Amino acid sequence: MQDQAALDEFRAEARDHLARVSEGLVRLERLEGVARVEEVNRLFRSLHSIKGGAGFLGLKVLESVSHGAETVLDRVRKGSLAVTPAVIDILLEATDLLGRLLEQAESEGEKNAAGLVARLLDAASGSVAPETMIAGDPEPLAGESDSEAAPHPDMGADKNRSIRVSVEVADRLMALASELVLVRNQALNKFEPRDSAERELVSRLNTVASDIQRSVTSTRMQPVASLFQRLPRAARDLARQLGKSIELSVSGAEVELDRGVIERLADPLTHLIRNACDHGIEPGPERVRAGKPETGSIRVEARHEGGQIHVVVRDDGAGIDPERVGRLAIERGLATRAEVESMSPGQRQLLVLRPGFSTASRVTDLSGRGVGLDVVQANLAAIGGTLQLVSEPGLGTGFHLRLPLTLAIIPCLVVEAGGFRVCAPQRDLEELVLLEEGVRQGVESCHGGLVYRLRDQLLPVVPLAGLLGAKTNEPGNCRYLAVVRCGPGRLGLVIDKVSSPEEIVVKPLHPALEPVGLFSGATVLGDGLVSLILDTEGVANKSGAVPVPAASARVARPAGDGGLVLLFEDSSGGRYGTPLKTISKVVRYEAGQSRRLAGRATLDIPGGIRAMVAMHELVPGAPRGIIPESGYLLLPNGDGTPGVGVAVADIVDTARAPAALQPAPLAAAGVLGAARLNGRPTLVVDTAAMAAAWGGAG
Amino acid sequence: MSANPETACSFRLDGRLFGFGISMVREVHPMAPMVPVPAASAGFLGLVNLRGAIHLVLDMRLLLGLPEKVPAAGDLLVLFNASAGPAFGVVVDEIGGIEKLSGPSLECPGPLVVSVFDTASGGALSLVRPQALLAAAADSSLVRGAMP
Repeated sequence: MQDQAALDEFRAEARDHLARVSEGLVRLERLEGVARVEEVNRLFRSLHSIKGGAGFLGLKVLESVSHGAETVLDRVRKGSLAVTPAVIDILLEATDLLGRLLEQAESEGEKNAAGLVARLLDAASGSVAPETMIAGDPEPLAGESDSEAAPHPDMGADKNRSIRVSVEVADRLMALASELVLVRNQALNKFEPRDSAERELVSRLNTVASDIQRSVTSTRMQPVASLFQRLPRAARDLARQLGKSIELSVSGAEVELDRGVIERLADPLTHLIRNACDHGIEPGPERVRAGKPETGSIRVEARHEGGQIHVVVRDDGAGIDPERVGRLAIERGLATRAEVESMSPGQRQLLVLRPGFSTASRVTDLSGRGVGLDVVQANLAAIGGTLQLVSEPGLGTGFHLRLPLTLAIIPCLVVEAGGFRVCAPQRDLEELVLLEEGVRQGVESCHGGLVYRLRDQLLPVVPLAGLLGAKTNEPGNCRYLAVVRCGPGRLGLVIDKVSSPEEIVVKPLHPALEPVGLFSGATVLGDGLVSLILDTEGVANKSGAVPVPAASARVARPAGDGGLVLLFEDSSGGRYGTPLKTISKVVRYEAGQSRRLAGRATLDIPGGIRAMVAMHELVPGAPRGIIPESGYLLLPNGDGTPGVGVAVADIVDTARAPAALQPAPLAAAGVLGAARLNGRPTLVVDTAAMAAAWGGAG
Repeated sequence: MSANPETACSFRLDGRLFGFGISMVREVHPMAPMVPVPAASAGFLGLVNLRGAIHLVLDMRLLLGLPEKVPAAGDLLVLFNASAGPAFGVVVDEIGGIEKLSGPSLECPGPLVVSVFDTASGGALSLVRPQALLAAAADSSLVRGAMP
């Protein structure tokens, strides 16, 4: 089934290429100079792509015909064959045959192809017999028309398995499907649930709307797996033809991409794999001599990052030798000596991306004609992507493809500030801090800007409402501080309200709003209203706040660092502290929630029933208290004490303990020492050790 | 100056008659829920979602120097073709009809109003260029409440 899908995709692509080739061939006769060279290069790339695809799918006849036509064009490109009508004729004949071969089974085309391939090769060597060219060979042509009139039944059915639809139409369908879901949601709110006829209708509307949305989305988005899964096999086949041992691994196959992008990524990726197999990975013995494993490895990886899709193809082969590349570029007339000499080694390596460059000393049917890498670049540029090359001579080569997210669904948090509702992408959001009355004082004015002391870090703070142009900005409204990432740094945004998280479909920002500089896109939220998507870097630029790197703004604390301790009181008012790392959780319980079990108060909480233990039971000599009616249960850290919790009356605060504690006035298991914390003498205990000792004793 | 369109879609704003070249107008839509555009020029009234497509709505009253009015339920949205600019529209009080623009016209030096025509139904119709509206709306020096 997968092969069938791959075949369908190849056919669709090849048809496009052929349409361009026959159009270009006709134009070629009229072109001169640079324009002609460019056209030849374009034709060459198209035929090369067909050849590549056919090779991958094992369509030998198609491959040999396109190879023949490519050979002719290669001679034209090198200037050793003139563009005569005879040459154009035979190339057009080859194009027609390729078109027919696409629609028929391989075996049927074979007899016609062999003759044409021979003639193409003749043409390439310059011995074109005019009569062959003009008249063609009527007999085989007639035979071919027969096979076209009565196509193979299976192939006829296959032809209609996919259709091409413009991206605009697909986008429109997506938008309408989302709109249908909104209408459905509104209808769900209105309907009368007791009316059974209406209920059935609404339930059907519900299902249909969801199905439509899913199906329409699938017309646009597809996991990159559909492309990746054929790569290991292809690399293996190539390796066998080359007599090399190569292993290809893929990761990130689940990353979803626009179908249009996947389709157009197929060619570049194919070329990069061929290139890596043919030129990158060295023959086995050579690898062994270089101290590498005999089996070469190619890794293909896809991931989302910074609003783009990254696809990386990395081999552990010979790498690109900048000296050799420079020399070859001069030999081939792709660059002048002076140009090459002024280049850095990295720039010299990039010469391999120029059209017509080839370092292979032999012409293989895999690659080595010097097309491939420039095809990769041209195809990527066409979809708004870029290609980056990193090569370490001796260690391998990595091709880094960056593709735009043409259509993305991203998780966002909808936030409100100054009456505006905007979306903050989850990937930019680090944490949310609730600004309570006491904590709000933490936002301080500092050199004309605002800062907030978040744990031990000073964070620049931007009131979002003001930046969005809200008329009134009541400070009493500001409830949250959203800590967001801006590139490598971060800053805090004061917001009024946090609404629900939503999965949003990113739509392009209206061009007239781009100068605002605060937003990266727009979306329609679940209630049908428009909302803009915050661009955190834009926020930083616009506000003038300088984001701080996560680690650099540590504030030196005067007190020595003994770690954070949780301060609490038991029912007798005794003040205790316990290092945060010794407790796993604090659970609040209300009066009436605890139950007596075997003479002991217990609390049934997620994770099991806990015995409630008072501090005086753990610390001999401590003032006697009771297990409070309502309060907090400290759950000790560690596996040794699953059934115990320390019941305390109140949680006071957290504080930083000095590096060295004073000796405690009493000795017991788990008592660490004493210290003056928050202005009061406090007994610091290790809750985990205490609970373990109690568990052991009881 | 390009040739004037032969026919215009006329509309009323603050009791006065205006028109857009008929080829510029894509559709007229009942007023839809609109959200204000944060941090943008006052020329942008808001953003609306119409059948899944987001449109930018301009404050034409402000741009033409007419008294300000908060868009109400009975108002209409006039949306323009892509040839006028990317997905945008304006709010009008009422749609007139299709007006044949023959008869004498008065060339206008203003950037927004191309020319003023005398219509068959009587009254002067000011022909407005949507492209110019979009360009003028982006002017960040626009302030609401500045006009009388």
